[in-house]
Amino acid sequence: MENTKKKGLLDRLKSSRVLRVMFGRKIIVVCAVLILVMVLVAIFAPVIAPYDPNKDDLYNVLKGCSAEHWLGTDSNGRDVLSRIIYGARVSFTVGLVAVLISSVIGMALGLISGVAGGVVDSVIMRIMDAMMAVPMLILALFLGAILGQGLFNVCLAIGISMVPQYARITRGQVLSVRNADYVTAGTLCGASRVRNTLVHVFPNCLSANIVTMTASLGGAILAEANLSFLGMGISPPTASWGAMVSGGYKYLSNQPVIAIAPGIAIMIVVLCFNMCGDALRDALDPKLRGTLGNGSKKRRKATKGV
Amino acid sequence: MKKISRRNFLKAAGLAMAAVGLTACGSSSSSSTAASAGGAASAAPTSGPKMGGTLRFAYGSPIATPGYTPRASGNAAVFYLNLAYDNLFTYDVDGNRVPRLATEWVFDEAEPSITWTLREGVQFADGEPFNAEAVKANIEEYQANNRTEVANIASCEVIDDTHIKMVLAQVNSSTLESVGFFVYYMSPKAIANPSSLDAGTCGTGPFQLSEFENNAYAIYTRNDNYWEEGKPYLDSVEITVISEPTTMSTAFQAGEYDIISVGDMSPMIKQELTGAGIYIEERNTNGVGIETVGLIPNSAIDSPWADARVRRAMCYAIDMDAINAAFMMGTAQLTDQWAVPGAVTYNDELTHFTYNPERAKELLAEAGYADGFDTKINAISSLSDMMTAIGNMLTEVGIRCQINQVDAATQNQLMLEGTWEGLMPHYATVSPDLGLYMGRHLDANGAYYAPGIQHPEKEMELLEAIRGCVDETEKHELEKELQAAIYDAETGSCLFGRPLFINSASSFKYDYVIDDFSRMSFSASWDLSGCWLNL
Amino acid sequence: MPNLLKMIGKRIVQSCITILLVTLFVFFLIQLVPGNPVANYLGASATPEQIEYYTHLYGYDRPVIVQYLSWIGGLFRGTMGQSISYQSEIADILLPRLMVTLSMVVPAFIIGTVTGVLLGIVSALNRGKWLDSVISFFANIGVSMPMFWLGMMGMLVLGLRLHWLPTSGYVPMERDFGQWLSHMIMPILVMSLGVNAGFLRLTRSSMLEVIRQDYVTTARAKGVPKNAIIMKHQLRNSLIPIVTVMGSRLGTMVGSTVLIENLFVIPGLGSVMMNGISSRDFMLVANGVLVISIFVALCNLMVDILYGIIDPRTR
Repeated sequence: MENTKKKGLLDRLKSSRVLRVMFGRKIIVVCAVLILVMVLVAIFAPVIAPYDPNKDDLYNVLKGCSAEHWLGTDSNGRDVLSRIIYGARVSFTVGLVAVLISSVIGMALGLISGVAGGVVDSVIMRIMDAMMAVPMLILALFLGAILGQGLFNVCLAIGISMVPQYARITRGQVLSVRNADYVTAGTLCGASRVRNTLVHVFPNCLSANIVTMTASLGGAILAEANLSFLGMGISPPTASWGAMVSGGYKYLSNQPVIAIAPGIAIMIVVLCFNMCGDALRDALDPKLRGTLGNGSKKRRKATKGV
Repeated sequence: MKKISRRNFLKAAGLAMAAVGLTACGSSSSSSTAASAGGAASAAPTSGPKMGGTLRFAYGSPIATPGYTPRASGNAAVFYLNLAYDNLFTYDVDGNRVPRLATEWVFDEAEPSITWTLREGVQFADGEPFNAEAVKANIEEYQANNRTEVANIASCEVIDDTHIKMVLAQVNSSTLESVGFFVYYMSPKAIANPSSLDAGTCGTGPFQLSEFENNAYAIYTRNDNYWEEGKPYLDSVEITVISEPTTMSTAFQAGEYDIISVGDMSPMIKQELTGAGIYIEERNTNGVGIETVGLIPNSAIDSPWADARVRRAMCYAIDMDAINAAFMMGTAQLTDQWAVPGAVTYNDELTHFTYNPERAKELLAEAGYADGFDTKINAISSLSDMMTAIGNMLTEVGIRCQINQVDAATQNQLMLEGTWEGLMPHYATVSPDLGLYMGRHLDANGAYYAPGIQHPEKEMELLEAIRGCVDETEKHELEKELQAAIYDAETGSCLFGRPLFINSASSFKYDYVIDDFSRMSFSASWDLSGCWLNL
Repeated sequence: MPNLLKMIGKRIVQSCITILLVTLFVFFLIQLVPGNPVANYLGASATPEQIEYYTHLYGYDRPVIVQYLSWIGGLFRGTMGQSISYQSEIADILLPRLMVTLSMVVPAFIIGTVTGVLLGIVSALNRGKWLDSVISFFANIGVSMPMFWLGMMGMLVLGLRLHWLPTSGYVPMERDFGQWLSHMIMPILVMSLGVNAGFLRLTRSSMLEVIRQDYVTTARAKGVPKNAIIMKHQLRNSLIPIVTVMGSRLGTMVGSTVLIENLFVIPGLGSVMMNGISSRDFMLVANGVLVISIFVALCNLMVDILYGIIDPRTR
């Protein structure tokens, strides 16, 4: 067990076993391909989209599906399909940036907390507890109200509200490896505390965090949709799936496709991220278990993030 | 001083309602249903009102204090207040004042004062008599709450039980309306013990509050002490607050409500309900309490908007017909000034803004912005689609707009402090009497928008002249002059930017709801004392 | 057992600190939200004098720290303060609404947990078979849908098209239980679906984890019947991670009532919080968060006790 632990995460990912387990199920391959396709669609949106997503056509609003507009037009006469294609950019950006913000801040806090211990640890973890005691959606709503709207502000609001889970997981991991032989060895060899932390402790926290990151990509995309529904999402006219669903609610009985189509887009992307996240966890899990199986407390930390 | 008896008023309103019912349902087969319902409303000799039943109403606006009326301000509160409370007078279908708790009133310009003759034999729900002392206590309570409506009353003199004289601090023609319509009378016993009004009511109205959950529902039950013999006919009235129009309309069509209120900003829903052909639409026709939505630039901050030519350029760049077609399904009533077309304060002679992007570009170039400039439109989410379309139009002529979506509270803050950058929606009550309604925005000390606009001398002088003017005809002339000074397309100062459309609301009901008089006297009111369900 | 009591005692102290931190955190965070509660309450016809009068009446002109301390002091005297937008004592607004929310969240939680755990067991026992794939797939779809979107679809299909259920609204349980139930079925089902899928995934993975543990293999080798193994060893041990997340799940559910209550027009805690935020009724929002965090803390405490009972190692 100790041996495998010493290997970096990349080595583990590279090892054929992980990939074989992960992509052993066809559905995961399908999901991965779908994500790839969506990412490509987002990147090449200007090439793929049949229309300018923000071009109004005020005498042609709320038209149903037709040969010119496959998914019809919205309240401003904009092409719904083009907006969904461009909306992929927003969803992926929110997902990635929010997860990046939360994981970087969260991991940093978790590392500091775990390594420093004592008062610093208590202070950080009590703050994290306080943040976790407020449901994530409400916290994000608050932050959204403070920061105002806009793509980055929404990412920041969602990102900050997800910080505590990373901090907790990282801290748990740090505590579990802090006294492992190779870390002690590093200290004995005269490595500085910072270096020792970065070189020996940090890589061991990554795999658990990566599983959480994959899972929370979907969560962040849903969070953006939720905020949009509550009127605190991304500013118009930017096409965002969440805003499209809540905007389409008004026309649900006349032109349901306006609300249904972006809802399905959200579902597919989140579903694919969740499935891949699960598969990745399954693939990495037997090795993680070695570090978790020997104490109930540590197990709790690991499962909290689920 | 024209006196209209209550019976005549009801007859007029009933006929008008039948007419509204007819127009609402058009010439489709459903018009017969509407007509028969209307007919029942005005004549109904065969069946007569049926007693009992509960009227279920879904409404978009909550009320925080249904009981303590001095804290229930704003037009949206009137639907609630109407049920449990009465005012001194109300309006008929033509906008004339008609008696309610007062039977007669005299406005003395010389003193200045208003003397009211009060209705006899009226009791509050708790059995207390309604008399001059009660009126005095209410006016003082409103003054203690700093309500602007009663600010001009210097003192109240009780003459006898049924006569009271209100001495005014200065001549102001709007005081009569403020005091007569916007003060709702509570029992003096309840005023002495205001906590009894936290979740209850104690007025002279046909119903009194029996169950209340703020922002959720309010249930009113029959007031057995009501002053009109034999009324009300209904046992109870349930108001449910639903802020989302789609949800409301869905529930209404599923039969969960008998009557609902739908705003002009939900044209799809209105069209769907009208198109169904089985519901009756009721709409205000006298213009009392009507609001407009416009687009107002911040001219107080140092920016291109400080130049009137830039403001006029904006007005020329907006294609209102396209906006109307897309967002109001062509049903919006447009206006180009602080009045509903046809109102006494409406100026027919001023030059209109037309959709003319070339003229807009010329004006921008004249003002030194030939290359355009960057600005913002601050809008709440319910208006953001429309504002996006307008932003695109403005961008076409060089006024490059970015949409800044804000929530309602932030919007209020921006209005109040005048700190919005660029443009924001302008909500204005355009009832006649510019001294009162426009004054709230134009006056340098006005509460809303005022800190965000310029206050040029010419407009301010006109405003003062209007406020001091007692002669109606002369006042209307001054008001039209003020309209031209601000809204004329060639010479106006364009302080309030572009008025876009009149934003009112309709009630939709099933045909078995008879005599509810929704929106007849005031755009957000009803009179359920004679309402019954023909089930 | 003394260990357990000690642990509980320690957790209570910790929870109190957390709650205190939450109050501090929320109160100061709220001050950063742009907007003025008084202006919002008074509306467009307000005069500057009125605004000043109410600002003073509600104490919004005092320094933030004084406002905070007087709020906390008030809590110890049994008052949460006055709500400006609702014009009444905040406890009188929040507590009845908390009951409404709980009457929705608790059944949803129970339904979601029970079905989730059962399906998770079925799924784990059939690992790799088609049944497992089908269950997993639907569970994943369940957590991947925006909750309000699912609610919209239900509203349309079950309410407007089929007329089986009312589309929205709320009737108090004590007024008419049948009506209450018919209004609550849809929100409860929508909410329970998210919990169901979460617990299903958790149960499945935790069952699979336990299956591979040595003692299960030993028991099998000893010839203990399969069902007995499931009931006695696997389930009990698989429950541990499920119990640990129950507290936070309940918290998340209370949070998501903001969406559900807005969509279905239910006068609960979520909708009152949303109204509070949009009307900038700072005191109402701060107290709302306080109530939620106390609720979450209580749940976590119960979880810890349960945990101590289920997992003998903590004793």
